[in-house]
Amino acid sequence: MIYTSESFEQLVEHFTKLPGIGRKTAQRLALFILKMNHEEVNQFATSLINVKEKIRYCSSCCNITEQNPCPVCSSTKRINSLICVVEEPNDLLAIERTNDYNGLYHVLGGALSPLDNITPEQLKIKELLRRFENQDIEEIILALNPTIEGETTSLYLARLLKPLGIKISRIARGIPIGASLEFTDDATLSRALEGRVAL
Amino acid sequence: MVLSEIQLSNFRNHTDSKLTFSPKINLISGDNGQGKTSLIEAISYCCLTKSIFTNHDYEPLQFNKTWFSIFSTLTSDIGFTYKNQIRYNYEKKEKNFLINNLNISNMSSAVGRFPVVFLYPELSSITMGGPAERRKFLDILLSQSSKSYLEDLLDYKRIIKQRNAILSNPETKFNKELIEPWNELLIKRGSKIIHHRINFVNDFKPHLTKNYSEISGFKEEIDMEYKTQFELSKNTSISEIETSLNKELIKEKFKEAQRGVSLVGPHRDDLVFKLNGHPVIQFASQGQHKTILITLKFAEYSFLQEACHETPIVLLDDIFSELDNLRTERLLVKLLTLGQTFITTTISTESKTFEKFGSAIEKFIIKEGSSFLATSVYKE
Repeated sequence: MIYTSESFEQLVEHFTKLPGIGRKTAQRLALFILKMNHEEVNQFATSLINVKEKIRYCSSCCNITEQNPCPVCSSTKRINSLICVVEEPNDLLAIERTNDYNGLYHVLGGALSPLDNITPEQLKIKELLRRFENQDIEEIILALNPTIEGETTSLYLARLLKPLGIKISRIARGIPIGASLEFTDDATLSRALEGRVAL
Repeated sequence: MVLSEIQLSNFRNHTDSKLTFSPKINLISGDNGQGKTSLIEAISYCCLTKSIFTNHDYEPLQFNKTWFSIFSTLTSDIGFTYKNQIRYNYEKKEKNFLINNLNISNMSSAVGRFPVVFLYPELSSITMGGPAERRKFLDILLSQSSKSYLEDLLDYKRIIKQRNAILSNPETKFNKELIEPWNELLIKRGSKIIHHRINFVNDFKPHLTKNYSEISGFKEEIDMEYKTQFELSKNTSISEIETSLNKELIKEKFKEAQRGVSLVGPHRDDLVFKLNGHPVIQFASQGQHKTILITLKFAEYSFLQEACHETPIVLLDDIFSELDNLRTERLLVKLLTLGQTFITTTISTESKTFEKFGSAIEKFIIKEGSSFLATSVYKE
């Protein structure tokens, strides 16, 4: 393009590679960077490089971390015999926010989806099994997304772990807190009925 | 449900059409290619959020235009007024459905609120064509009357797609650990779908028998049966279906791997219509096929009315074409007992057949995408 400079175009090109960013947004972001002061841009650039250089996957739970094992895995205050399996690091952060869970985690890095060529080898399942060798695990909580793929992955893991003779559970699905039954969508409601709890 | 008004912009050959309808029979007459069927299509958009003729929203878009919109005013049985609006933008690939100016983000949530029964010539494949057409008939009807069925069906389709991806891949097709979780889900959702369909057939049968004797005047006995790949007991339960599906999956394991597709489940089932105990698809005459199809639609009407607690709108595209005058008249008499009906035809509005009905039938003439009340044309 004749109206812009090459370096500007290059930056725009990089932004468009990010998920959810189209060309127009990329241009806006690039212009914003141009308006930032020098030091801020420097910090921004360093943090991009730092993310790539310093962050590793925890050798135990496969979560992203700067120290190995990660703070969760190396904590002495956590219950070592309890593992919660999640799809992505975001899911871990969501559960951490509740402050109600005091066990360890395992991040799979996705869910099984043959259509997208995601097989058990692509997920951190081997790593999960390896943890049983060094750790005394009593219970596994499967906290995967309530999608068809998440559900299948839960079933896959349940079959895989059953011979180990540990307690396996799946998080409940149902009506959100503060919502009324009337406005809950039918699919959620029927799953909630399915997973009813005895009193 | 009554559609009192519709306004189309850039929709097929309607650049800007506005029509006001009668709550009873609306006869839409015109030559070929003038935009009669487009009107039926537009009505289906307002009620079902999509076209009944195509799955591609860009198809009805007028040539060289970037958007179309349809405004409609509908009144429910208890007298509540809905202003439904469809907007489609080709450049943004964006489709919006608004009810009373409120954007409905989950379109499937609107399905069933505005029940419709429709009939167009290609639907003759329901009685004459392959099993896929009959499953589609079941699915559309059940999705309108039950939300959980629709959710299960969408899940099921996804499961089959994922499962086929495993089966068609030479490296994974024999991998037991990989396919078993998908089997478990297939059984879970599939058995719910089968159970739902069997119950539906039982509920639907009385509607079918009652209407058939009224419409045909024949003494033949009509029957319908849901056919699965395995035998089931009469009052079957979900758990029985689950066991049978599981057995069938084990039985067909190698065949599935060989062919690379899912061969077991409700996506392979069929609906069989019978006259006097004989399967319609092999023995019925053209006339019987047509009568069964029309009966099916009347039965659908009374079934939906019961299930949705709302009178469906009836859309009939070109149904008089194979009927003689006497049968056309008889059909019209029967249609007058229903709620609001839209009929397209190439027969002139001045035809004697319609004369007898007087003002009971509101007549419209469509010409090159513009429409007039037939009565106003006479005045000119």
